[in-house]
Amino acid sequence: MTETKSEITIGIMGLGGDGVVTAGSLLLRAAERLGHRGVHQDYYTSQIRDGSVASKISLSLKPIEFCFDTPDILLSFGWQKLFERDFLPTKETVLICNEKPPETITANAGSVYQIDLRRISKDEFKLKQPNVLSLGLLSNLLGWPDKVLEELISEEFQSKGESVVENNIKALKRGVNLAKDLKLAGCNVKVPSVSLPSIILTGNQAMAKAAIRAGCKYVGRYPITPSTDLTDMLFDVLPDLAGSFSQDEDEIAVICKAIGVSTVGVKALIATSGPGLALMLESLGLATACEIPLTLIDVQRAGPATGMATQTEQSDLLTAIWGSPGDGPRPVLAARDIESCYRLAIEALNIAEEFQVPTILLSDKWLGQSQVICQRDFLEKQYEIKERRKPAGSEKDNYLRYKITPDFISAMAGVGDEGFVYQTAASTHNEKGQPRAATEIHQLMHEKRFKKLLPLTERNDLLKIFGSEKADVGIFAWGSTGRVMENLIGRLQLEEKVKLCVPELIFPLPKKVKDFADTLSKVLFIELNHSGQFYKYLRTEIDLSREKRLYFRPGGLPFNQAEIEKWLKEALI
Amino acid sequence: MNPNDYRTEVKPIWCPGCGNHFILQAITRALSKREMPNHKISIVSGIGCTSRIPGYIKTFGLNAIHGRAIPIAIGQKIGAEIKGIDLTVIVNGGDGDLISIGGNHLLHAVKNLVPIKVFMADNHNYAMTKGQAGPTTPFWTAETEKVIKSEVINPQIDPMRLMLHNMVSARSGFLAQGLATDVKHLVRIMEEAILYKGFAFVNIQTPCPSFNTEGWLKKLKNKDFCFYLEEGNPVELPNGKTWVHDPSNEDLAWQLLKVPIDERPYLGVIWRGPELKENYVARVKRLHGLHKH
Repeated sequence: MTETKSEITIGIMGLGGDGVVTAGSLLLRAAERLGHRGVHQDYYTSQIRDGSVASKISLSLKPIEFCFDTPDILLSFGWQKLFERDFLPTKETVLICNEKPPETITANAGSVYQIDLRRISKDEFKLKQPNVLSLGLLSNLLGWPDKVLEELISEEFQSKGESVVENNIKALKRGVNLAKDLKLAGCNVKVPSVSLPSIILTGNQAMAKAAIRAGCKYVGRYPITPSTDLTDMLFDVLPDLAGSFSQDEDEIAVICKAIGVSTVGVKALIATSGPGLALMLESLGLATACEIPLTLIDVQRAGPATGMATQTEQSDLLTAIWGSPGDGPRPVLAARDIESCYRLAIEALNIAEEFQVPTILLSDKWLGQSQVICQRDFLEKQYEIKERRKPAGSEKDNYLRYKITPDFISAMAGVGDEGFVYQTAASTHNEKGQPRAATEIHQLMHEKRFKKLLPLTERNDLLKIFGSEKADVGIFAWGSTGRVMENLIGRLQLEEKVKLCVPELIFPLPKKVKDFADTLSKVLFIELNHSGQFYKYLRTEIDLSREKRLYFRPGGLPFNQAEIEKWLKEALI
Repeated sequence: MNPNDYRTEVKPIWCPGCGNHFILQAITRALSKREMPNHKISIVSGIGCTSRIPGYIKTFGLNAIHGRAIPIAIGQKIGAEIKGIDLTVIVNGGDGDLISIGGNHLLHAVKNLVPIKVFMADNHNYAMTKGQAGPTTPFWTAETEKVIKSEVINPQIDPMRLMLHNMVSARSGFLAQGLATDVKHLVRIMEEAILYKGFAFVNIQTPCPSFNTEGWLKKLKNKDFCFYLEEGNPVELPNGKTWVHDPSNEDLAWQLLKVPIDERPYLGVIWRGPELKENYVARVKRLHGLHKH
C-alpha cells in the first residue's frame, strides 16, 4: 500500500459518547486545511448515550458531496449492525478495531488490527473518548503532517483550558506513535493540484447563511431532528443583526408567529421536519388565503409518524405540494446539493415576498447534515434580493389589500403603516379583505391565488438538465437523489446515452419539464421514498405514457453507488 | 377620536342581546379614551362569534383560523419590535377558541413575556356551532336542556385560576375579570390592561342569549351577583375574613379565586405581576450575548 490514491474513504464506528462524529468532523477539517475535496456523512440514532453512531469521510480530487461505498480504512470502537451496509470492508481495507469484528465484517476483510483504543485512552490519558487517540493513528495512516491535527485539537479544546489541550495533544501523539509501531501507514491520498478557496458547509448551514443574505430577520422553531441545527445557526447570528428568534410551544405556534411577524413587514423563516410540517398545514392554508409571505424549510426524515427521526428520506413531497384542506397553492422547491441549498433558500425567500405566498423549500437529512468541503464561489456571487410590493402613497386611506391587478399580486401594507389600515380574514374575503361567503368572490380569489403564481412556470432556470440533448432515455430525480444520479451518469460515462432532469422548482412546474419529457421514448424515475411521490405528481401534470423504469425505496440508509448502478444498468437494457 | 371613529361600516351580525355587542362598544371606548391612533393597533382573532370583532373595528385586523390568534398576535408584536414601531396587539376570542383548541398557546403566552392583550369573551359554550358544551361550560349545565348533555360530563376549566397559576409561575402578567354588560367597568379594565407593560388577560363574563341557560342569564342580570374589587377597598373573602384589595398580593388572589366563577365572580383586577423591563427582542439579544460568552 504505497500507491497514492486519488480517492479515499474512511469509516468510523462506535457508540454515542465515543466522539465518533467529532472525530469525523475534525478529520474533514484537517483534510480541508490540506487542500482536499471531501465530505463527511454522519449516521446516528435517537439515543444520546450508547446509541449506534458512525461517520464516513470520503476525500477525492474532484468535488464530492456524498461518500463512496467502500471504506479504505475502517476504524471501530464498537461494531454497529444498524449501519453496516455502508461500512462493509474489502480485502484491501485497513481494519482497526477495539473489539473482534463480527463475521459479517470479517467475511470479506483483509488485515485486522485489534487495539484496545478505549483502554489506552482511559488508562494513559484519563480520556473517556477514544477519538483523539484514533485521530493520531488515522493521521499517520493517511501520511498527513502531525501538526495539522495538533492545531485543530488545540483550537477545539482551547475553551476547556491549557491542561485539557495538552493532554489531548499527548493522546494524539500517542496515536501517531501507535500507528508507527504497528507500521500503519501508506494510505496516502492525492491533493488536488489547484487549490481554490474552500469552506466546509452542511446543507443546513448553507440555507441558514442564505436566509441572512436574503434579508431574513426572524426565525422560529420547535426542536426537531434533523432541522434543529439549521435554526441554531440562525440564533447564533440573528440577534446581532437586529433580528430575533423564537422557540415555541409547538409547530403550530411556530408558523403562526412567523405569519404574525410577516404581516408587519419583516421577513420570516421557519424550519422543521415531517411531523412539524404536518402540524403546520392548516396555518399554511391561512398564509396562502391571506397572501402572507413566509418561507418554510423542511429537512425531511424517514416517516410516516415519528418514522426514523435521524435517518434520511424524500417522502414529504406530496404533503408539501397538496397537504392543506381546500385548494391552497404554494410554491415548493427542492435543493439537490450544497450550492442549491444556498441559492434556493434565497430564491424561496424571494418568491415568498414577490408572490406573497408561503413557500416551502425541501431538503433532507442526508443533504442537510452532511459536511461538504465546497468552493466558496457561490457564497460570493451577487444575488438579487426581492421585497414585497408596497402600496403607493396615492392609495392612502383608500387601500384595497387584495386588489385584483393585472398580475394578480396586490400591494401589501405592513401592520402599523399609517394610512393603510385594513381588516382581513382567513375566511373568503373581498378585495378589501372583508369576509364574504359568496361563490363568485370565492371563485375570483382562487383565480387570483393560482394565477399570480403562473410566471413561476417560466422559471426554466429552476431545473437542471445533464447529459446529451439527443438522448431519448431520460431520468427524473429530485432533491439529493439528483446529485447522486448526476455523479453516476458521469462515472459510467453515459452522458450520450441518457439525460437527467432534476427540477428544483416542483410546484408550479417549470414548462421545460414537459419539454424534457416530450423528447423521451423511455423514462426512468428514482426516489428515496416508498411510493414514488414525484412520479405520481408528475403524472398529474404531464403525459408520461411511454416505457418506464421505476426505482423507489424508503429511506433510512441513503442510496449507495452499487445499488443505483445496478438499477440503472438493468433499467437501460 | 370618539368611539365611533374606530368602527368600520360593517354591521355586527351577532344575536340581539349577545354580550359581544357590549364588548365591541367597550373596546372602541377604551381605544378612544387612550386616544390611540388606529394604525398603531392590531386586533387578531380566531374563530367563533367573538372572533368577528376585527371586522367591526377600524384598526389593523386579522380574523384568522381557530385557536391560533395568540401566536399570530405575539408574532405581530415581535415583528413590530424588530421594526422598531409602536403597536398595541389585542386578541379577541371566545372560551372555546382560547382555552380549548388554543389552550396550549394561552398557557405559553404568559411565559413568552410578549405584551399582548387578550380579551376573552367567556360565554360558556361553542355558540357559533349552536351551543355545544365548551371548556368553561359549568358542570351543572348538564341538568338543563340547552347544551348537548353528553358533552357536559366533565367539570369545567376555570379560566381565572388557570391564568393566575400561569402568571404566578411566570412572575408576570395582568389578570382581570369584567362583565360584558357593564361596559363602563369593562372599559376601565381594558384601559388598565393596555397600559400594563406585559401580557394581560381579561376574562369577560358574556351572556349568550341563544344558548346559556335561563338560570345563568338571570344571574348575570342580577346586580348583586358579581363582587366589584377596588384597589384599597375592603373585600370579604370566602373564609369570612375581610382584606384590603391589593392586586400585587398573590395569596389574596388565590383566596378570591376559591369561589367558583359561576357562584360569584369577582370583577376587577385580580392580580398584577411585575411589569416587563425590556421588550422581547432586547431580551433575546441579551440572552444571546450571555450564550456567546
